[in-house]
Amino acid sequence: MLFHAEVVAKNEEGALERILRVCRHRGFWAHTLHAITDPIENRLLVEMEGESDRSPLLLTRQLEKLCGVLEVTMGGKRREAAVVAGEHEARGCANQVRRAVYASGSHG
Amino acid sequence: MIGADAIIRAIEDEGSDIVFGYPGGAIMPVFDRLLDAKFKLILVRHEQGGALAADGYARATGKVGVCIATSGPGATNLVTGIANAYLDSVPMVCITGQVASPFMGTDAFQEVDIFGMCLGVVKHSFIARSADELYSLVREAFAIARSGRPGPVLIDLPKDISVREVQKPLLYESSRQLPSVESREDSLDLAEIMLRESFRPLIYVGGGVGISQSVGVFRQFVNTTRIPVVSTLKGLGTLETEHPLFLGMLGMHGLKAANYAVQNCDLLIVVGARFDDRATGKLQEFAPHAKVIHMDIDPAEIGKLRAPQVSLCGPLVHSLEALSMPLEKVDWLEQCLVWKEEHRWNYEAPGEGIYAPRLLQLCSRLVPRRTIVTADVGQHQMWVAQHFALNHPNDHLTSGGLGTMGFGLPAAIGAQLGDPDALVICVSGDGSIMMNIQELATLNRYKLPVKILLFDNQRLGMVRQWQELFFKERYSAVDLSDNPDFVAVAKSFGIDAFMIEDRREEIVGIDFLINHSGPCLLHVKIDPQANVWPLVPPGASNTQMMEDSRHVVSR
Repeated sequence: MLFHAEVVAKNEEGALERILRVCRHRGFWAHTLHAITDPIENRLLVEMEGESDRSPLLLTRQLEKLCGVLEVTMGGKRREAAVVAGEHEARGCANQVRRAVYASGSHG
Repeated sequence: MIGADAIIRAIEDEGSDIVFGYPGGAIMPVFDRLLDAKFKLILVRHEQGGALAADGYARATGKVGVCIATSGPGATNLVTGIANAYLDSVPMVCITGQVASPFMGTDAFQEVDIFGMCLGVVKHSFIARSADELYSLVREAFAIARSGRPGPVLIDLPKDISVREVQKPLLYESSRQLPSVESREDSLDLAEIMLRESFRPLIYVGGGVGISQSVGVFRQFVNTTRIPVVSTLKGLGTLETEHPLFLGMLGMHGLKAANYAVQNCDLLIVVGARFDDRATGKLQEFAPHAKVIHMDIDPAEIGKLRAPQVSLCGPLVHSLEALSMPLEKVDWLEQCLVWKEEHRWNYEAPGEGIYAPRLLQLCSRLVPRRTIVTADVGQHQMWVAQHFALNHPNDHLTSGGLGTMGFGLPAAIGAQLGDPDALVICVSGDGSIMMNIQELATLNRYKLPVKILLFDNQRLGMVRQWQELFFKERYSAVDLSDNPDFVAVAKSFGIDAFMIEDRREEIVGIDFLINHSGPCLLHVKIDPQANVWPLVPPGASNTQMMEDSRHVVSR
């Protein structure tokens, strides 16, 4: 089952690692990842797509448990990365990170 | 004032009276300032012992446990203790020294990325980046550790930060939104209807009631509704073992009455429990006829493994009070009590040797009311759960989630320090005791009157049992027949000890254990073939309880 998640978190040390670790550990495999920071609001916005055999609700609730996570939107319509980035750039965000994460072929 | 002073002040302002620690290079500035602290530092003999002692202290007192270690190996030695607290939702603040900031990431001496290593076993974690923030950071760590579903919080402290001058006043005001969830009224209404309409309701209680200090309200709920109760390992004591409505522990080593009740109920009220696999057996066949009302503080536990018909997410007190009402489910209650009577324990066992369940049951009848029993992990842990009568969940400290061999002794140290007037008994096995046996030195140093009840079958008993039952009696790495002389070991640490192996010595042994004025160890030799019964095989339904005809434990 494919999933699409958007996570807004406080941009604290380790915030991105925590989010990705929860995804992996709970059985959600990211295929693409787009993360940007907003230094004015001190926010981290992570958008990812991937697949899992498990319910997206499980991931939502586990992500919401993380102390710095403010908002999780799961399964919503995917927005173009450029649009998301544009919104944050408009708020003065300069620290944009964009990369693809390729899942290994073994997870099925 | 330097950063280390700010840390000490924050711990003092949180009201901590004891911290557990072990010094080393990167944390030396903090240990220097600990000499002037208002709280007591307990020097353990291994960092894992420190973390588990802080855990035991927290469980016994309900306060936040604190442990401090140095960087590198000091920090990695804490990890098992941190994970143990995480899996059992124990509030702890763990402070690790770190190499100075400019050296971080250079593979410096005694540098590990403990922040990264612990991400999966902490509720939250910080790397201190400024001396000015240290005071509020430590206070915040305490707030996070104890809020909502408690857990451990790690603070990694680079050495340069701990020696840097603090320029700002020590102020703390939490900026963090701590989650607050309340059960919705319509959910409560629906739960009330389900309670009234059910014919065979059953309460399945977990560790959450004790953790949230809701024991009184829970007991009121039980006594008002007259619904029978089964418990997880960590929920034991929430309802007194001797309470007529208590059917026993459920699950893999649960009582038959408890498992029968679960399998036949039509409404399962889950209170602060999480459908752990040791409790449920084969999940698809767990409580197959039951609708579920799930009460828990943690939204992530609702529906994680079993979708409830009604979820009451929030403080348990609120839900339990709202649903307290007299119910008359007489036929069902009578059926449960029949099961309880039919399957009560039988403590008669063949031979002249000591039968551990019987010794534990005798012991629990002779101890004073304020007794805390800690268990290590293995067969003896299950025997404690089955046979030691408990009055409160804080009286039973056991490593439920992680199953940490070596938990018992340091946890007993923490519990005794937290409750000096309690009789604290550590029940251990010959495998587990060796995992943290160095903490006998801590017992002796602080003259803590912890009593160690050591069952010795010269085996890793639980593993041996599984190899016997599920691996065609192919015994691999379970023989401990070259154990040291435990009496001599204890005495070498300055702790009085005594050995028994005959059934006729039971009372003498228990008398020694309970009435000895200081710390002591009772070494009890038992049959290496003894198993824990009943047993639900892995992957089986809770109705498939195995028993051994050689040891009749129920009738």
